[in-house]
Amino acid sequence: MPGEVHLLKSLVKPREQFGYFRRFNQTEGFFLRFLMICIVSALITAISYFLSADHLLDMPIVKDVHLSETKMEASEYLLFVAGLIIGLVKPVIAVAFMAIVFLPFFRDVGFKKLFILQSVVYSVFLISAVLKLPFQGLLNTDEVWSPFSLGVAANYFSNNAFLISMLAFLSVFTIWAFYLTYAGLKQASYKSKTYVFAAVSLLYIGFMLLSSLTHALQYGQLTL
Amino acid sequence: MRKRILMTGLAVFVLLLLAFNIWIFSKDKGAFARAQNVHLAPARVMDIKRTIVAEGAVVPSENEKFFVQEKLGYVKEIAVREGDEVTPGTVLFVYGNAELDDKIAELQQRKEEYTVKEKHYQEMQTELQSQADALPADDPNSVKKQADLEKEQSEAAMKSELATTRAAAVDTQLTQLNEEKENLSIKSNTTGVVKSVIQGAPDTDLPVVEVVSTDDVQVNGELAEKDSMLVQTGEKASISSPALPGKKWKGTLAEFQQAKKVKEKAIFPFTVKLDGEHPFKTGQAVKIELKPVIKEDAVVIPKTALMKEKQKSFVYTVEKGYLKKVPVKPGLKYGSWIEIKSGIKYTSSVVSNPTPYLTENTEVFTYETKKADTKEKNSVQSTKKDAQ
Repeated sequence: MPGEVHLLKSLVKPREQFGYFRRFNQTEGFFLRFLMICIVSALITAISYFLSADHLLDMPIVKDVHLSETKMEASEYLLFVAGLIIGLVKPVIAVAFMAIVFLPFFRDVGFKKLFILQSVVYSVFLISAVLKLPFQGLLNTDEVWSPFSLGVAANYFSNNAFLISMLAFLSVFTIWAFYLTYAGLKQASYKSKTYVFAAVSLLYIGFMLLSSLTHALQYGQLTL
Repeated sequence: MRKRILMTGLAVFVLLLLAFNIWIFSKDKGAFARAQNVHLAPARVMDIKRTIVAEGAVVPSENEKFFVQEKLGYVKEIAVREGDEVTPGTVLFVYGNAELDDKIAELQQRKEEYTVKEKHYQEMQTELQSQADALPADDPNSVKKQADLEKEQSEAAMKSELATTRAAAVDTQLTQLNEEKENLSIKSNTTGVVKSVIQGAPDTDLPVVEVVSTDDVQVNGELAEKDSMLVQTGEKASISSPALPGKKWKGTLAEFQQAKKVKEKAIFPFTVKLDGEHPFKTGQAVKIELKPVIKEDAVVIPKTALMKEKQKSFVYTVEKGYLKKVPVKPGLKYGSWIEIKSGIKYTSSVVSNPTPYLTENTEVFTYETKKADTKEKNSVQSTKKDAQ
């Protein structure tokens, strides 16, 4: 039905799917689809936590507690459950946050439509997360760069946290997410193409710089 | 159509990026980790050696020089010429000694005299015995005559014995003098070739005859006093020749000769005996590389692991997944290694290639550490299982 949110179709044919946005206000079936996103996110996060249990339980704060072997094994399953809960809530917060960030630039679209749009974009990052799982399993850590980004090469050749993070942001999925956001907003908003492109670019560059700065600060390469 | 080309191009780019990243993963798994990727290198214990290179020359391993020995006499005759092949025992030259010759002649004369005397008295004894046997048994004067003859016979026997003893003594002296005369013939001890012959009345600094061996060669070199203190006899050496680049032969420092002064500095000549087969020929210029141990059991780390900040040296170690800065006292350098006098133990591991971007107390990813930890964990688990 026109106006219904089709997640998979939106991922590959964003122009067609988001084209309905401007004309219809129907969001039928979205809640169920978003719930699906949350469940998938919960599963991916749980598996990711479980796979990186070695790394997470290797933290000094955990080591200082001196857990017994049985408790350590139990902790691995506890991490799986924690991953389920965190993964379930994470899409709500992330998508809402993104929608709020985009709202000042696209008031004509409104929070509800921005939320739907960002949930589609979030699905892209879920695909990225699934593809990272084998590497998380091999390295026993949940913190890995996407194999579809330039971050791996940057980390191989340099220790500059800012540069690594910036290049890691430039992944196939980020470009896909950028394209979806641009295509979706172009259809949903009455603003000009240039405005939409500039606003989306500005926000993505902003996110990129912010994540790079945070990463550099985290590794002591920048001091406030 | 345009869209299809665009999509194909995009797909190719994605695949290439994935392939490149997987190649990196195969080279360095840590490149995928978000935490700073560092590599650990274990400290090692090794003997630090210093490389000493000396210029050398290939010389015959045996080089016999025969100088004039005035106490033996004068060089009477030289029996060889330059280029002659000699073997051990070949007479090279002979000394002349008139005094010795006179003594031998005199003794030979005396020996002759004693031999004649001995013969004379032995004949006299026989004659007297014949006379005694011819005396008539019934003549009363015969008893007295018999007694006189016996007395004379006894005297002759005594004189004959004396002559024999003296002849023997002279013979002993003659043997000794002949031996001395034999020693005046100077013989070669080496299988080789006569290198030089200096006839006439040579300067005592120059050899009358010089023989060099044709069997084998050795390498002679010189060391400065500072270097000679580090090297000892028995040290292994590498010999290389500019004529044969890229190749090295092994040898052993056989001996040090007496030091000599060159421009007020002591120079220590030494000899290297070559081990095994080699292509060297006498006169070739070579390089001798010696690697004496200057410090035993030194704790070393890769040079690249050492960092400097405000003239102070430090290394990074990883403790519980976090970087730790450890001040160290560096010592001697050895190839790609550097000695650490204090700060870390030989059991420690250090970040092998730290960059200025690394900061203390930040989380790092070390694939080596992960593996070690897993090993430790597994061994603990198996020990516990065994105990149960």
